[in-house]
Parts: sequence; C-alpha cells; structure tokens
Amino acid sequence: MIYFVISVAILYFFSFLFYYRRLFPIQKRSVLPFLLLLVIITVSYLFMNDLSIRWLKMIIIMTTMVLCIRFSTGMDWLQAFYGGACSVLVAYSFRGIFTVISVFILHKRDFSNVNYYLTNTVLILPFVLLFCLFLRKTILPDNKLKLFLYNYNQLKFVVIYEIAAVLNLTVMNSGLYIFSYDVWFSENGLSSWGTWFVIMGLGNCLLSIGMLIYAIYQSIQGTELIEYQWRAQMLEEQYERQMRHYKSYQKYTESFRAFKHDYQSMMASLKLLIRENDNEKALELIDDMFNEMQKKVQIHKRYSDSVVLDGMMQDLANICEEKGIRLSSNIAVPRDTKMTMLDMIRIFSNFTNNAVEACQKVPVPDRFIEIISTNRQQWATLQVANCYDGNIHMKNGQFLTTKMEKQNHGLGLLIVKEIAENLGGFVIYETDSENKTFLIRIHIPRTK
Amino acid sequence: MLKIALCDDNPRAIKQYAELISQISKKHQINMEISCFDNGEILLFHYSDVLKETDIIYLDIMMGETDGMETARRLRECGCKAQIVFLTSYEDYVYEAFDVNAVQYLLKENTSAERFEEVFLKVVELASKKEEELFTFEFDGRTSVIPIHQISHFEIWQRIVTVYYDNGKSAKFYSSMTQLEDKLLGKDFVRAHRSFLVHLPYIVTFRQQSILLKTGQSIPIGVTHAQSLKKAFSEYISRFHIYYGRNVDKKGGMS
Repeated sequence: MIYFVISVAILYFFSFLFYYRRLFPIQKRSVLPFLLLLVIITVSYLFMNDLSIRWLKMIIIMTTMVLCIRFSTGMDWLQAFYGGACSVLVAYSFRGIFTVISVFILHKRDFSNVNYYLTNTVLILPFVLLFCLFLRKTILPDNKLKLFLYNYNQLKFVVIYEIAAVLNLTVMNSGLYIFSYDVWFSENGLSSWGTWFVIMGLGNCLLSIGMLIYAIYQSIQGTELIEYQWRAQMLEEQYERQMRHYKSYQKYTESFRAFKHDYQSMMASLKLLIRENDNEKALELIDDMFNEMQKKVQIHKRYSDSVVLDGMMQDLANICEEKGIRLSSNIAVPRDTKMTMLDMIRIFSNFTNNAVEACQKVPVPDRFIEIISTNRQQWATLQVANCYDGNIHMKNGQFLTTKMEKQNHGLGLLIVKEIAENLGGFVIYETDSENKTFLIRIHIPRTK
Repeated sequence: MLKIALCDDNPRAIKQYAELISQISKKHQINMEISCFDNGEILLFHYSDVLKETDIIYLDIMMGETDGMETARRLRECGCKAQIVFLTSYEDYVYEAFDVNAVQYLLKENTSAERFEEVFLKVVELASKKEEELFTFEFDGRTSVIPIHQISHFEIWQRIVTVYYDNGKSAKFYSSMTQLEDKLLGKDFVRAHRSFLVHLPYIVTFRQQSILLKTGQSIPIGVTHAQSLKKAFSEYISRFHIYYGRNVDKKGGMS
C-alpha cells in the first residue's frame, strides 16, 4: 500500500517538474535533483506518518520541490518558489477538501488515521492533476503563464500569498496533533468540536485553493494590462512619428511647388537668352537655378520602401543626431510574412530603443548603430548592431533592464521573442566584448 | 564554360559592359561566352532554347516594354536559376530586387570598374559552385552520387545513415556522425539533434522543439543543439545580405 502511495506522489510531483522543464528548458541535464526529489518523497512518506511530525511533511516536500525546480529547470529562485509552492498547495488543499467531505459521508472515520490519510492521497492526486490540466487549457495557458512568471512584481505578490497559505495549512494540520482524538469524536461520529474543526478545515482549504487561482489569474490579467498599455502607448508614439513624417513630407512638397513656380518663369527667360544667343548669361542663369534648387527644395530622405518604417527611421535619425550616434541603415520592409504592421513596429522600436540606450553608455566617438533588414530567400531578417559598454545584465538567459521603472520594461525583448517564435522564426544575439559590439537578429519565415 | 547574358536597351552600355566583362575574364582566365539582348522580350523569347544553361544575367531595369524587374520575375517563374545582377541608373527598385533573389543591385554611376570586377568575381564564384558540389557514398560495393543542393537532411541510427534528397528520395549507407560532419564541413550542414544533420537552406520554420523542412518533414531539435543550430542558421541567412550603392558594412554614414 505505502509503496503505491509513494509512486503516485512521485508521479504527481514529477509531472509538475516536467511541466516546468518544458516551460523553461535548460541545457545541462543533471539527475541529481530528480534523485533528491525521489529520495525525499519516499523517506517522508515512509517515516513521517506519525501524527506529531506529519504536519512537517508539507513543508519538507515543498522545500525539496523548490530546490528541484530551481536546479533542474531554467527558473530562478522566485519562479521556482512559485512553482514548488503551487504544486504542493493545490495537492494539500484538495486533499483537505476531500478528507472533510469523506468524513461527512462516512461519519465516524478517524481522519487522523494513517491509512485513511494515505488512501485519500492516492485518490486525490490524479484528480488534482486533471484539475491542473483543466486550468492549463482554460485560464492559464503556457504563454500567458510564462509572461507572468517574468513579471517579477506580480510574481512576488503571488509568492507572498503562497507563503501565507502554506503557513495557514500547516497550522490547520497541526490541529490534529495538538488535540487528542477524544476532542474531535464522540460515540456517534463527530463531536461538536470535531464538526467545527472539519468545517473550518473545509473553508480553509477552499479558500486557499480559490485564492491561489484567483491571485494567479489576477496577476496574469495585470500583466496583460501592462502589456496592453504598453502597446497603446507605442501605437500613440508611432502615430506621432507618422505625423511628424507626413509634416516633413508636406514641407518637401511645398518647397518643391515653390521651386516649380519660379522654374517656369526662369525657363521662359532661359529660352529668351538662348534665342538671343546670349550664352554667357544663359549659363549664369542655369547655375543660379541649380543653387536655387539646392537652397529651396528640401531634401527628403528615403530610408526604406515603407512610409511606416521611414517615419520611425526619421525619428531614430533625429535621436541619433542629438546624441552623437553614427547611424547607418539599409532597410527593406519585410515582405510576405505573417507579421502584422503592429508587430513590425514593436520589433523595430524595441531593437532600436535598446540600441540607443546601450549607445548612451559609451563615449560619443564610439557610438554607432547599424541596421540592416533583408528579405533573402524564404526569410525576412532584421539585424541591429550597436556599441555597448561591455556589461550585459543577464539572468537565466534573459536580459535584465537597466531602466529605472523596472516593471514596465524588460518585457520588451521577451515579447519580441514571442512574436518571432509564434511566426516560426527566432531571435538571436551575439556580444563581442572585445570590440564592444552587440548584434541582434530576428529571422521570420516568409510564406511565399 | 560560363554563359553570360547582358540585357540593356542602350547599345553603348552593352558595348561598355561586354568589353569590361571580357577584360576581367581574360585577366582571371575565366572561360565564358556573352550573349547580348536589347530588350526583355527577346531575352525571354530566347530563354526556352539558349538561356536554360545561362549562369549569369546582367539586367538593366528601365527598358522599353518589359522592364528588367518584370523580365526577372518571369525568368524566375520559368524556373530560371541563373545569378541575376541588376545594372541600372535607378535606385528606386532596389527593394524589389530582393523578391527575385538578385545577387546584386549595381548603380551604373556609382560602380567603378574595380567594384564591377569584385562583384563579377563573386557572382562567378556563386555560379560555378552550383555545378560542382556532389556528395558521394558507398553502399553494398556501389558508389552513388547526389548533388549536395538536393540533400535536405541526414538521419543516423546506430551506424546506418539515411540521406534524404530530391523531394522524398532516400538512400542508406554506413558512416558516423563525426565522419559525416567532417565531410560536409562548410557546406551548411548543421546538427539539429543527436541523430539528425540538417541542410540549412531547407529549413522553413522553427518550432518550439522541432524544425519544419521544405520537404514537409519535421525534425526534432535536441536541447543541446538548439542554440548552435540557430546561430549557424542566422549566419547562413545573413551571409547573403546584398549591399548596393552606399556600402553599409564598409563606410556607413548616410547623413
């Protein structure tokens, strides 16, 4: 019996572990964390069934789970804590609910009995797994969860709740051990104390699990809201850029019109001069016309074959001029990709903002940004190379923002990565610490 | 022998560039033959008999009825595999040049004889590469030969290698992954998995844990190979950036 229980428990915790491993793949494989989990679960189920220490089991298994997740997946401590606590909390809460219900149905059973406790565990764990699967399919899909796990502010909030919930459940469980059997039971089933305790337990468990799901769900909503605001803000910025771009276009057209007006009269006099064979004066006039054009007709730079990109490039060029950054570019708008215009703007602004930010940390003579985008064969590519100060802030393969308002930033590159991966492409970067050059590329497949 | 076609509606330009090409070829001892056309229609008309074997086509863009871009597009539709170089006075079409897989976009005014030579040699290298590269292997005492560009990937199981090529064909032989990797070094074959070696030009989509090939097959990505595969692929794609007129990588500076 006991070994069956152990294997079910192991299966349960390993499925969580593999789920997180899928979400956060890691390069090196180590069997050690798995073995640790295996041993600790086995030991705790074999030797910790005595009432006086049973309440400790939850905390021990949770700690082990956190350690295992930390060292066998790509998650950091906070994320690992979230994952470990989550798996344990859901299991214990559900078991609590199940125990209470069965006490009511079967009346006189001693709920502190070890065998009873083990049977409950075996029965409830598969159900909990199914429940989690259901959650994953409905309100907590992988991509949303992942975004949430990188939003540390929200994550901290959930983890604090988890700690409170774990303490709460531990205190609850220890009630079994503090008071004797006689307090909970009278001859014909539960005593009034027992009923109170059982109902409290039910409420407690329901509350724990409900609050946990609610907290996670709310945090994900919060993360989405931040992303949404960010997106709206970006659209507004892009709109302004476009307006500025159109205005400069307008100026160009106006100046051209003014020149055309003069041009007609100048042509008339030129004809006259040639007819009269006054070549010297005619040549002079031609020179004047040329100068006039140079002066009056403003040059409108074309950076790419798209007005949207041109608007952004115009802006970038202004920023670069202001900050003394050398900018060079060769840009073709991505063709035949499934990318939306908004995605394109997000990718481009993300790459260029990061590049400008990095450039500001190096002395002016070294500052440069080089942008190339191509549609070669089946792939659209955007490449941005820039200088940087040689320090990269990384955490688990993710860049950390160096900006002041941390909660709004740092997600940018993650979102770009997600866009690329959803379209079947990827983002890759190289750092050359010797030449202090940072290079980032995004490749998106073309459908044609 | 390399076959080169030159298409421009300006006879002076044709003469100038034909001479330039002959000079360069003589200098580098390249064996070639030039055919000249004065408009796109004629070029397309000749395509069916003469041009099928043409390796390099120089195209002007602003020409009579069928412009150079249209000509290139129609050539590609007929399955023309030649290296196309645009040689024009207009900057405006450079972005469209990407769509017809042109190797280069040269602006007549901005292209010095040296630059023209440099580009010509690069194109010649690309054009001659295609014919030569073959993959040979032996199985059951028989030697087989497959053009490398037809191979999509290799799968290895124990000591048996299966090579997948030419849209759905496959063949088996004995080898090891290391031997195979050595043999195909520098030919754009990269490990995607413990037992898969992929030809980079065949990749169409990257997924979470697999890649999709042009042939429709899906190949698993091993965790240890994911990063190196992406890196190699990125390098492969970026190797073909075309630069025109203002050369970004050398001088930069566009203001």
